[in-house]
Amino acid sequence: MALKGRSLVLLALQDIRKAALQYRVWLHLGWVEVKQRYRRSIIGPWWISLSMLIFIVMMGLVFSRLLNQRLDEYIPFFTAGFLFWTFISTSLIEAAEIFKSNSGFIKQINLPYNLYVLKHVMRQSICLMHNFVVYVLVCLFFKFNPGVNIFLVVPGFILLSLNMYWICLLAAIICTRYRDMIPMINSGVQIAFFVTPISWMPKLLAQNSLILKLNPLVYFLDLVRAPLLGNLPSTTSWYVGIAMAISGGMITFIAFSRVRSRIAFWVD
Amino acid sequence: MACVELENVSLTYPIYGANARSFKATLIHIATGGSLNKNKGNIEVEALRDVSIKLEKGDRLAVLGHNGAGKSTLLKVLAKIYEPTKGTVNVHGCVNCLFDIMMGMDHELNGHENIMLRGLVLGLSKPEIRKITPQVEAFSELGDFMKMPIKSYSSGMKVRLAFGIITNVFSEILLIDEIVNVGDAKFLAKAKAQMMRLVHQSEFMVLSTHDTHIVKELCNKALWLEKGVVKCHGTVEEVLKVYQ
Repeated sequence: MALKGRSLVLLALQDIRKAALQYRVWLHLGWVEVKQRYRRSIIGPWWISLSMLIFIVMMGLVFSRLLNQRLDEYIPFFTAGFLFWTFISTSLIEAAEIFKSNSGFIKQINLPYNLYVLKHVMRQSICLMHNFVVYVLVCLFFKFNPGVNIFLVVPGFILLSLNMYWICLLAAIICTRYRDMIPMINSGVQIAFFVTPISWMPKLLAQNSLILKLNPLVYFLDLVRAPLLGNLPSTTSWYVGIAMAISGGMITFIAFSRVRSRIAFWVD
Repeated sequence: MACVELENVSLTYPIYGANARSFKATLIHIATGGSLNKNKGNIEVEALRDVSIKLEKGDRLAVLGHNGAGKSTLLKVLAKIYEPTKGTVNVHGCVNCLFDIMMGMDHELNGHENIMLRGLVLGLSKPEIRKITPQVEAFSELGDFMKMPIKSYSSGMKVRLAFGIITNVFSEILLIDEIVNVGDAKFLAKAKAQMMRLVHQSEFMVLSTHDTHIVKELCNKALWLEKGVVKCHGTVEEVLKVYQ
């Protein structure tokens, strides 16, 4: 390597700065990708929202019985959790292909690598926004009012997105280098759905259960789900969220600055 | 101030075998100290070795050489797509690359939307894109097809659109990987005129090609690459004398 330590870090920082400055490009590309994905179907992006609604109703009917919960309590809980779980899981699964699917750009033009990650997170956020309709419908149906606490979803979501950002970048780097990581991530996500309190309530477990304590997703979800249910996220969730963003962000930054110049060779 | 300078640039890149791309295989390799999985299947390719270039303002450099000589790699180093493993790259100024001219075109979008998309990727602002749109329309002569998704275009029409966009972007440094040779005779003549305009606008140009006629016509300097090493570098006359 011609470049050592300091200059590698500087170049990585430059990559991030340039990507942020080119917000027009990733905002536009993010939109275009969402639009063209659903261009052919008549009701467009609402398809996913509709299928999500059906899934929630079905799960709600079965699991509220199974877990002995009231329907008007279980369905809002599951909706709020599943909404953000969909954001987290599709972000992660599609993150594996961030660089691969943009190889046409990477091999042809000098754009910052972080631009593709920003575009990816942007696209996932747009999908989340329109799935939000499902939550609104559920609230209206059950006459559920979360109150003013719902506004806390904004800082919660910002912290969640920051965490998703580094997770996606790290996953993209690893999956571009090691092709057999992609199926591992997929199965990991599947397992995570069942061990995380999304379809079952945390209160069903003992308070200090390690299942809840050791799973970072529990804290991430709490940050955004609690406000939608009219509650305050726990302070621990904030601390864990911030600590994860800082430590994970640093690890990812080190990894990124080390391999940045090799990504262009890895994509083919 | 735009400048184009390479100093002792070398570039080696890995070609990975199936094992080296596998996380599991790599893990086993590390865990067993390489005794179980001996064949890591890594080949290093030296694409460029010790290449130095210094261009003056107004220089038109032709990069000559056989297939696989490193011409495209050299252009990608100049475009900062690849970073060299050794040496320094000093390229400042706005760069326009004519490599794969269909890059970033979206088949589901119509002509106008593709101009917007491509323009943004090339670093133009929205007002700038609106400004070049009529020129692109005039050049590509697509008329009402501009409102249709480009997947309904013939390949010639797509090239006309892409070429129209990319040649309407101003740049100080122009990098061309082989001159486009598509479309009917009428389009070719027009494309050539457009290309000339672009070449004269730019302060620096680097062109990779096999065609010595184009070199004589367009360039004042030449560089002959063979297996990633500079065989000859100088004025067009000097290099062509030994090249042929």
